[in-house]
Amino acid sequence: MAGIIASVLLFAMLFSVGTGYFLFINTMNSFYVKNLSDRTSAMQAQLNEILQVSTGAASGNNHLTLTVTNKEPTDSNITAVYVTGPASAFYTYGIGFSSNTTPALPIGVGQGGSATVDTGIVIQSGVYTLKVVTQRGGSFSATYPETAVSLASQALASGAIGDLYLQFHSLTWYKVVTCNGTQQCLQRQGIGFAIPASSSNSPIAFSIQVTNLNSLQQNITLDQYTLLTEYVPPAPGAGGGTARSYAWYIVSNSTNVLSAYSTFTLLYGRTVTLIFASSSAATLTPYAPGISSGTITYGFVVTHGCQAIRQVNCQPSNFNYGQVAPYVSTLYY
Amino acid sequence: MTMAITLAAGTTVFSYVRSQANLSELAYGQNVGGTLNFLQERFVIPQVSYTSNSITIYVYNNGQAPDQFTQIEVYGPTRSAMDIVYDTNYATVNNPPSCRGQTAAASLETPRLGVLPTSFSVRVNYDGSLTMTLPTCSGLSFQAGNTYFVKVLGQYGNTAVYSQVM
Repeated sequence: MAGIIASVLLFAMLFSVGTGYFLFINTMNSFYVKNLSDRTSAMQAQLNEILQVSTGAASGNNHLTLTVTNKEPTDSNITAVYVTGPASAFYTYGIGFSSNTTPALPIGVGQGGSATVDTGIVIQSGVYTLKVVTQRGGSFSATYPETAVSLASQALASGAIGDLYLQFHSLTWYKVVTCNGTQQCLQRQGIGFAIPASSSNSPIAFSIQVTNLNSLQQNITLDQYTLLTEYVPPAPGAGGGTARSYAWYIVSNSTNVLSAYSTFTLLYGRTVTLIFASSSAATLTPYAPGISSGTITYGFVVTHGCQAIRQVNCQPSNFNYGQVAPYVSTLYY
Repeated sequence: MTMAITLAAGTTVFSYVRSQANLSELAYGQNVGGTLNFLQERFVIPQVSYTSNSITIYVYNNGQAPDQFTQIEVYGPTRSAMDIVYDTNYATVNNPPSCRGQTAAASLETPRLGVLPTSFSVRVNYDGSLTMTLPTCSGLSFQAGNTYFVKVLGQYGNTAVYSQVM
């Protein structure tokens, strides 16, 4: 009988204390995981914020204004603005301060959208430094009047010049030949500014070296629609004619062996060689354009994909990058 | 007799195990709670402003709970040129050597650091500011053109560092 009582007590102890302890630890662990995940997400979201701040003077009252453009793939929220004016005059606006802008902060700025606020400061001679703070804790600066450097930076960011530095003299053309039985390989021929027209009756390919110089120092992921196109306008002065274009889509390679394109990310500041060899996107279909002798083509590099988005998330629904860069002319002789 | 001993011993063991489990749960819970507070505390220093003998520090709370701050270090252009640590009770001058010593914080911190209800506090998604005045000492001042650093310690252990030219 005593043994039965001891067993009952033992099991009661195990089930009540043991189970309770297990549930408690499990709950604590869930809290920890959730909070760690929340913090990681918040930090990542803050790092991904891209706001461009430009300044100006409101017409009529000469008030200092600022325009914030959201270049990130998610919405943003402006919570505060700091302004340092001439003679160290200092102004604060937003949540937690007694002053506010017109319209009042906080202001949401949707993806690709912009918002302009009036600080109410009557512009005096001198330089104003403005700092915009977002809900996620990011801060972005600008000056009034805007400096040449910031204007150039904005031009670069907006694509007026381009994020990719194309190394002009690196253009190289190749014959694409069968190798290792069934594979396609590059066979280097020379620089790509002049190509025997007869060579274009067989598959040819091009390579160029590019460097990602994105002004925000962010990575750019290229999608399969990135291509090099050669455009032939109607003959000058002939009053008509037919325009033609030829395109080589981006492919992947391992040394000189080619394969269909697999997603590739251009890291900031790193020079890489891109290969263009396929007549259709995302495949390896060698292309023989058959271009006539005496044709001069206008070459463009068309890049497309994602900026500051993880490679695995670079899908058509969130593509946020695309540029066309006039590059070279090639003579087929 | 045997049953009585079994019952007594079993109950004692049961109570002891329960109390030990409680202690363990309490310790573990406090530890996890501290970690959760650390994870929920996030803040940035977006801006500072200077006068010759004071610095106003703006703090933005992008965390998940209202926050308070326990220590601020102001130094620059190097730590050997100027290094002052403000905490709940004192402002401690480490450099320059000629000014080394402690001064009561009450007259130098507006509002006060610490975790009292009246201490400096910033609500979630709000900006707040506090002004640190330099202790009175010949040669201890902010100089135009120099870069000064501010290191703020949150009550749960997070830090943020910011620098700005005066």
